[in-house]
Amino acid sequence: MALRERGGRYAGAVTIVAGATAISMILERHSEPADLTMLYLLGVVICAMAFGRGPAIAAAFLSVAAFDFLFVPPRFTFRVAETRYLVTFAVMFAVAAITGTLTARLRDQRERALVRERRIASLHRLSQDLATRSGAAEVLEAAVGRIGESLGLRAAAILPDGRGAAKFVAGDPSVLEPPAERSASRSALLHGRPVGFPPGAVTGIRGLHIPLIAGTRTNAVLTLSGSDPENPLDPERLEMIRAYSSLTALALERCRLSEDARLAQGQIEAERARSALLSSVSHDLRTPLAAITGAASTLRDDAGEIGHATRRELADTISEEAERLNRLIGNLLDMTRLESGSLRVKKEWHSLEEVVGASLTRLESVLGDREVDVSIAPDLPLIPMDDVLFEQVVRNLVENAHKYATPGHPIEVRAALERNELRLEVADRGDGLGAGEEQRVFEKFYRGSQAAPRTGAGLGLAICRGIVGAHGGTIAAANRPGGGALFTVRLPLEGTPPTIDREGAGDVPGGDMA
Amino acid sequence: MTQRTVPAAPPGAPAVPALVLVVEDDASIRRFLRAGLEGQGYRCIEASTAGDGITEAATRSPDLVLLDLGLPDLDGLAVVRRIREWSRIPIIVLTARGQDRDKIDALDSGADDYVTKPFSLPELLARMRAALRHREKAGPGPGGSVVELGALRIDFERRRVSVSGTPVPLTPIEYRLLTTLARHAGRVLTHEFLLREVWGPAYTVQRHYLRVYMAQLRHKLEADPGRPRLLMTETGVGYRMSEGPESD
Repeated sequence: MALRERGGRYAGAVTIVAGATAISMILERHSEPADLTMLYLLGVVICAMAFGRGPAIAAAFLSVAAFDFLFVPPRFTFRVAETRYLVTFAVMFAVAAITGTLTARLRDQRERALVRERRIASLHRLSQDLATRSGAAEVLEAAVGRIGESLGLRAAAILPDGRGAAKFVAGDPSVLEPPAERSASRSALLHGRPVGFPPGAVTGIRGLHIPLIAGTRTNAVLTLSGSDPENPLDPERLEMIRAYSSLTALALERCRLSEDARLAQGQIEAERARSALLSSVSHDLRTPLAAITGAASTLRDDAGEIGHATRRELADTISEEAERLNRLIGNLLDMTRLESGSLRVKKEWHSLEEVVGASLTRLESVLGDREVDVSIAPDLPLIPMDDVLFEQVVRNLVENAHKYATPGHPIEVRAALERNELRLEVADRGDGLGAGEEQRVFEKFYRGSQAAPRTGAGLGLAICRGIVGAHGGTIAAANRPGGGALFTVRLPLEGTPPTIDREGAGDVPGGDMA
Repeated sequence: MTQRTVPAAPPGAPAVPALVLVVEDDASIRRFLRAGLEGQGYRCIEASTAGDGITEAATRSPDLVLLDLGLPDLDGLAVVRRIREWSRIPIIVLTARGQDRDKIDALDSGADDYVTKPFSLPELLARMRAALRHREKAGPGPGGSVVELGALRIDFERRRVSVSGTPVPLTPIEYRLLTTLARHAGRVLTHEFLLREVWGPAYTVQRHYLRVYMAQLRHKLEADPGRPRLLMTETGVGYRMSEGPESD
């Protein structure tokens, strides 16, 4: 490739000299030989500009030879009749060589300036690019791409994986395929010193492994594949590599610092949330405990002065408060399971009527004489759901309605199929939701602004949302026209309900039972 | 604690108070159970480990076992299986909330019923009475050929079912499901058990059959199928035929 290019440049020089010769032959009749030498000089300068120093000298040599052969008597021989022509040749050659060299140097300088400019521009682009990246992996991805492209090398990067080892994060994995290169890059990461830099410093290692250091930390290692022997890394490219590396190291450091800051902020917020939760939970746990302890100790220390009715009341307090504590702990456990993602939804085909019925049975003691109107569409198919979890959704919604509804007004539970969804509604008549509460009621530890006689921990609706969400459904709250709140659960009905082999026998008990 | 004198032994049984073995590692719960049970006229023996429990069950021949599933030395389910190797005495397991799988496993291992902690004494006593009564009836089929549960009347001999005196026509499977539940009235029957009994061993995974037929039965027998009083759902575990107001 390089050889062919060089050959091309010399061929160009020959062509230019041939051109000068052709023009000289045309002009010969009207000019002095001295004029023709100027023509040749022009050719040499053009060669120097276009092809550099070597071809320019070659052109100078060829020009002298051609001039001697064609235009100096005796013509068509290389012999020279007059000694003055020897001086002409010498001057001609010297002028050609000097102008050629000067022009070629100018050309080199210009080219180098261009390269420098390109590289500065590429450094600038890299720094702009890196500034927009967040995260070490992204920064390295961008850096490896740009560096590899601008230097014509294959590049790769490794990061410490946080467990004392390294992991490949960006670039061309084949760079780190040879075990020697892999261990060289790990060693650069471990010791924070470049390996294989400058090239050839360590035998057996062809790549350059450059630790990206900011402050005292080695944040990553950049590995560039060894360049091919015909195109060795010149000092200028090595300089570029250094510049790229320190730019990338700075970008990595910026990422690390901003990540640290973000983590610190997150910790502060988590800490704040945790202490708020803790104070709320401990209040909710202590209140029933205080009632239980008080009632139990009163009964224990009683020497017969407490009447039967009061004793009964104290016993009721203990049992009610214990039940409240039990519900609270259950809710806290459910919330924890939902938030930790350890909740498993075991969907089976269930009859919603049965699930609602079981919920209401479980709530009997809570509801007291509160009426619940249940209306379930008779054509409702079996619904894919986790019965244990969904029973809890219904229970929490009905209990919530009971808590906030005006006494004496029934709670309504309605279910029907709407397009390809189950729509389950629980509605009450009462004060309904406060302004802007439609979303907030589902937040954990949120208690309604409408004071209820005895509010829970504010977890019931949050659990509902978690369970419905785990089923792939949605839950929403709204105010009803005419007062009261309406909660709507929508569950998608995926799959077709299973079929049942119908019995052939008639409705006659006493038929064949085998 | 109110002192109420309730006969511990079911009506018709000898007037010797029933002997209850409590296998539970927590001392507070043992104390509360002893106080409550003795207050109701039962006799009580206690064991705090599975090993002691098995020994007591074998040597003292109690009438009923209350078994905590979370024992320190041996899994409660293993205790159920060990006792079932030689004895049919009623076993009621005490489980923690949210352990539906344990309940099902205990029932399938041969336990008669379960109570979820925390439980109240009346709840436990109701389950114990049902279990003891069932033991009395145990044997080849129901002693009497007619069973009455509230308004429901099942005449096994003539295969007739009626509610408040009105005959109710049932399909063969509905009838089989109803009688299986009635024969074990007061006890929880797991989905698997019911499917095996009513449909056969090949159907134990087809739980939707059970749900569809339970719905049909409720629509035929319950006053309000949406709020059953007779055919109760034990969510996640199975079904229970209620024995009347006291059993639930």
